[in-house]
Amino acid sequence: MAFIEVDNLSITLGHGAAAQQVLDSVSFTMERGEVFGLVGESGSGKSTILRCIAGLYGNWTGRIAIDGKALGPRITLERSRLIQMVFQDPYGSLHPKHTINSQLMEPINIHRLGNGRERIAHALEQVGLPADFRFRYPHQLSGGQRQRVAIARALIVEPRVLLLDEPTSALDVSVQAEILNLLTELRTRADLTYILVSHDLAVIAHMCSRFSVMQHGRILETLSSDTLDAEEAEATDYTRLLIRASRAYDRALAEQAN
Amino acid sequence: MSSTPAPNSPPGAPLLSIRKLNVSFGRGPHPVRAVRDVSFAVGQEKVAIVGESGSGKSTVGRSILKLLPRTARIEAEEMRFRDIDILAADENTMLGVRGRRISMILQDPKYSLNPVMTVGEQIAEAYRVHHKASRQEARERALAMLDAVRIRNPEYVFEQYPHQISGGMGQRVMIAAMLIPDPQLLIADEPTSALDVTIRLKVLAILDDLVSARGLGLIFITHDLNLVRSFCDRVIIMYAGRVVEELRAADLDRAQHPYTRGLLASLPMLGQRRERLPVLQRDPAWLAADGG
Amino acid sequence: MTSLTQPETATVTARGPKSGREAMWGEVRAGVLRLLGNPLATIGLVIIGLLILIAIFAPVIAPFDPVAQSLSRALQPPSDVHWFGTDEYGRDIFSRVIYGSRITLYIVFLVTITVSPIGLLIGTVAGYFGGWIDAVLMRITDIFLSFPSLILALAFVAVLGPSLQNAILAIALTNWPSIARLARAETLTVRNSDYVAAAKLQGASAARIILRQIVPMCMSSVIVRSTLNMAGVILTAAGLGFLGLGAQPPTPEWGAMTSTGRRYMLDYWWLVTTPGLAIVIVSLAFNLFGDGLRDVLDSRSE
Repeated sequence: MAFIEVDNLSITLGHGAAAQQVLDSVSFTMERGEVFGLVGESGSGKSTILRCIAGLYGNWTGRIAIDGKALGPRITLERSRLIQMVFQDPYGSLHPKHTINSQLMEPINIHRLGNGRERIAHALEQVGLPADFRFRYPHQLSGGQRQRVAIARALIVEPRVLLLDEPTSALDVSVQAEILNLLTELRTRADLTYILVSHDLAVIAHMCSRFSVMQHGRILETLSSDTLDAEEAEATDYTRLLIRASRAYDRALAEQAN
Repeated sequence: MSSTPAPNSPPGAPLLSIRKLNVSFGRGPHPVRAVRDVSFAVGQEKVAIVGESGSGKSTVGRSILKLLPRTARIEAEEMRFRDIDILAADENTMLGVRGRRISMILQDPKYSLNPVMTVGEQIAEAYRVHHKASRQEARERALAMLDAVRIRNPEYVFEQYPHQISGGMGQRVMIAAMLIPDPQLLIADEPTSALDVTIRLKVLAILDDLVSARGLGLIFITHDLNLVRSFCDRVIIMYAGRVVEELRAADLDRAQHPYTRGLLASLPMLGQRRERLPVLQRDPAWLAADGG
Repeated sequence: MTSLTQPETATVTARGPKSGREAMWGEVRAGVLRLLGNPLATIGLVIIGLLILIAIFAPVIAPFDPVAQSLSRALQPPSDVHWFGTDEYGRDIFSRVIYGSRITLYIVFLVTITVSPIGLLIGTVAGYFGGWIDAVLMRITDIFLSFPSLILALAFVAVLGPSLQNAILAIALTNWPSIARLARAETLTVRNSDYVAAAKLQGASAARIILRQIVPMCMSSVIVRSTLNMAGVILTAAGLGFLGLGAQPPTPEWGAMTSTGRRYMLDYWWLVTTPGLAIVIVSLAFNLFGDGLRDVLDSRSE
């Protein structure tokens, strides 16, 4: 029995004429402690999968189970201590009007965890932020620092699964490296399991041992990063296009894209 | 030392020549110096200006067209496009330069296309601003441009509004609108950053072909070092408002400046799985360093 | 650390604030400094400040009892003794205008503190839940929005009799819809933000999300709108007083004063001039201040 099981996950979003089947029978499994990747272009449904697992969308069909227990459509307190998420836009994922301290206190209060000050101090230290950042506002922080706060906020309830929705796409290259390293380090230290979504194949291949390529709400295939070179030849046309396009601009490749 | 031609000179006569460009914002006691002593030249080639946020790369692009806010002060020893002295040019002269001689493509067509005009009308207008032409003639030319950017049914797309077309198509419309007045130099500020990988390929290919076919110069402003490696001829790296290195795209692996090398090293690469990515160590000495 | 010109750098402060309160005061200070940089807004603020001071120290400032009549001294023009002249009952107009500031503040204060919370609550709940809750609440809002306050006041007077309290009630009931719609609009913008999603993921209840996540984002707009509304409230109250529907004699309410002074306006211009000017100046002050507030508060919301 795998740690995370997603089985025939489907969801339709929108009403009436605008209704779209965003996910179509998506299935995959993951082991504990793994970093699993979902790569695809916009509209592939990769972020939607995360939102279904998180519970932000409730009207999906299929089965999602973590450690054997199936998840329902609603977010319960128990589920929120199990699964947390880091969002893409550091400028939109923190509340502009609350201090960092206030935002980190919120989950502590909701779950009545106690020891707020110590937990927050520890969380800031874990993500490499100085302690005196506690009472700053998000607009006083850089993009990378905000993303660290977002990670701290996710970790403060001590979850076991972290859903990462394009966590570094909005960051500079040099900052991206720092955040990716931080995530790698935190995973081993806090015994976490990650599902990483990105459109950037290089980031996915770096962070994940295995990843699935998605297109139009379906999983095309699942590859292993370590044996990517060998697997490339056997992959679907779309996957090969993605891989080669991620390596370099190639005029001839553009013809194939049509 | 690399072999001829030297990295900071274009093949043939330069179209654009910039020497010691300085741009600062704000009038108070501490103006922000966004661009410091930047010098480079661009000919009929594809030159990339690469940097992270705050490096000043976009400011350089906009100062060439004098599209900066009024709080900006531009100073330079020389800013010359062909026979036009841009530094001394007044707004009237610049109106004749923008679009007609030098054009600019921005990042997100959602924000750079007028939402209440059809895309065809916008392209046609871009032509009529610089050439006396009837509506019919402008429309013909716009349709021809839509065809040149490989849009399959130009008549249909002509009547669409920006919100009805995809991002990739929007960028192609932008390219059409920016190239229809027949400029000699094109500045592209992150033109493909908002696009998916496969769409990016197509748009870049179109740009590539048009630039070659028309003999244009292209300044490609981006943060994506990996992309310019294969797309551009020469690369200029900027950091904190300065040019820290200038070299041919093919020579990027042999970059000298620690910032360039650090940036390259911190990029995750397909096929090279590492446990940790080397993190760029910023040296304050780079802030005072001289370019190239 | 990071370099000088990169936006990656945080706002450089020697050390961070040491507590939540210190952080908040830092923001308030920054906002106040920005406000004071706007000359028109500062003028508005000064006038409002003067109004408050005048209202507080009215007994000290006013030389005469505002309701003391002296028929032998009726309708006297402005002089050294009576700076603004006397009205038809010999009452000192200057003192009446001074005391009238208390009425004005009373009206503005009462209307604002009742209207804003109600409007916020209805607007945020409607915007957050959507669906039939939104539909029902917005239809109720529409009903109240369709009443001109004067008509509503007339209805109240018919039922309850004319008084200042009833006038305030009428004004409040016609003012809350604009706040509610504003709050709803802000809520619609904000409810799909990532930070609201993060709060949901933390297991926050709807009430908690509305109170802690959504309301703070609406506050700027609501504060600005309320301030701008105050000018309208003053004018409406004056209008109601003018019609005899608000403050009853001998209460020195500015609108009522201009109404009764109307009869004598051609020969005795001073009866309407000063109360009328007072209305205009204070309304203008609230408008200027509200505009300045908008400039300060809107750009902070990043």
